[in-house]
Amino acid sequence: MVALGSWFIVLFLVVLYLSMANEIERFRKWLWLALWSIPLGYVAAEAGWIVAEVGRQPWAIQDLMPVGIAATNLASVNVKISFFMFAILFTILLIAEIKIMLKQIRLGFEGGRHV
Amino acid sequence: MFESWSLEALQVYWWVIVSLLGGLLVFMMFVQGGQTLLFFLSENELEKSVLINSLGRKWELTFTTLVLFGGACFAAFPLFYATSFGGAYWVWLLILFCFIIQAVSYEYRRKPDNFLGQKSYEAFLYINGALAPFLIGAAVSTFFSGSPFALSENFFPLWQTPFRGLETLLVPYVYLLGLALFFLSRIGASLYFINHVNEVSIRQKARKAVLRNTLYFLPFFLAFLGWILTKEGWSYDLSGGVSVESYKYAKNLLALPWIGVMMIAGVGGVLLGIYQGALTESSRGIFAFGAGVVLCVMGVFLLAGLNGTPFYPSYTHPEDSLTIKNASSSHYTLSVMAYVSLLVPLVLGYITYVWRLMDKKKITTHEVGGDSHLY
Repeated sequence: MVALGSWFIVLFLVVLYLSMANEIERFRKWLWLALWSIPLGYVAAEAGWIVAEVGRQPWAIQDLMPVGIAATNLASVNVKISFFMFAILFTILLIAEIKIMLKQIRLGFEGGRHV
Repeated sequence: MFESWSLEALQVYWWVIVSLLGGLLVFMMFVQGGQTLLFFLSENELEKSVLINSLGRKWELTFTTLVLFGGACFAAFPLFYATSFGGAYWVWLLILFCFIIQAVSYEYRRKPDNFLGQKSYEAFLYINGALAPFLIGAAVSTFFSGSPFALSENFFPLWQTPFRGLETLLVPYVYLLGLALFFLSRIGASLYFINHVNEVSIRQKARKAVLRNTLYFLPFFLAFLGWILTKEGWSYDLSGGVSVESYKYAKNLLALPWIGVMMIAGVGGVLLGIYQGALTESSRGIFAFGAGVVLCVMGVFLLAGLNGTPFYPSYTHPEDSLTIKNASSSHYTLSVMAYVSLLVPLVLGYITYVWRLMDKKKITTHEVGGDSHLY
């Protein structure tokens, strides 16, 4: 996470400089690096959560409330149903989102609508 | 300033803020009402798009108000937040889901290749528009009907039914406010369209819709008022003991007559807005209506929580009922947050400013037509 954070700072500085100099289109390697850095943002976010959540065990609130007491007393069937509700709905929405994005990319700048 | 206030004063102060946010939320649910009117007020695709784009400029404001309302409950009355959101789990999850499908529908509806098709997203908007006001009305009704819960020694809600809040739907009285809010949000939407959409045919239909929905709204609202003012309620004493008291909410109204004045002024505002919208050529009905709704809803919340009344009673374990005393945050938290709450007028001012800026140019079919669909 820390390494990725440092990388993002370098990337942003370079991209900022290149775009202010109006030359970013000529540096294709940096464009590719910027593109492939998109998923790294998700990785960094997840890593941050894992550090915070795992690092705090066994506390839900440091020194105040242990996870054992903080966990829900909801019957597990409720949790299962909600999990599948989220999974199904968000899968459908993901498919819709990807289809819309692919279509917009295919349309390109000229034929595209406002997004 | 605030740190010198007593804990009791801060608790009342925060209950008033929660009530105000509740009032703003109910007013802003005109967006939901509008989503259920899309097919009634439009004659063709273009007009429907005009309506959706008109709502599309406000829906985030409603959603943000909902989150702010939940956030204020979480910060000021955390035990209520934990008990209601954790206990009445399925009701809140339903509300959450019907807002998830709302958000994407505005964005995806007109996009090519959107997988489910335009009709599905419009159906999602209808589902959100109908369910959200109804469920929120039913949830607020539990302030008066009570809920089946106990609290463990760690203040965990022990919900007494496996249906986790859905059992409330078996209580016929909660349908009164649920349906009243459904129709109220449609009145608000019609008044909003009259103000915001510069199309004669839509405005004419909206004026009729104001009148029609008022006729549906009134019996449910009056029945709700009749129910709370005649029903018995719970009351707590200084030692925290909870007892049943007949005509509790009517007694609250007599003990705190300023709430009555507030609610009468609120009803007056609502009626003035409806009159302006339905029977005159004015396009400004939404403003009197909005102020009236906020005052009325605030009054209902204040009746539920002040004057020694547990605002979230448990009918199975009355002694575990939640009051603004036992459910609130500490003196320190409430006083620090009270300073933050001084920013509320600034936020309201900002909303007013942006609203005016966005609405300066009224929306028309001409603007939405062609290839410039935003939503």
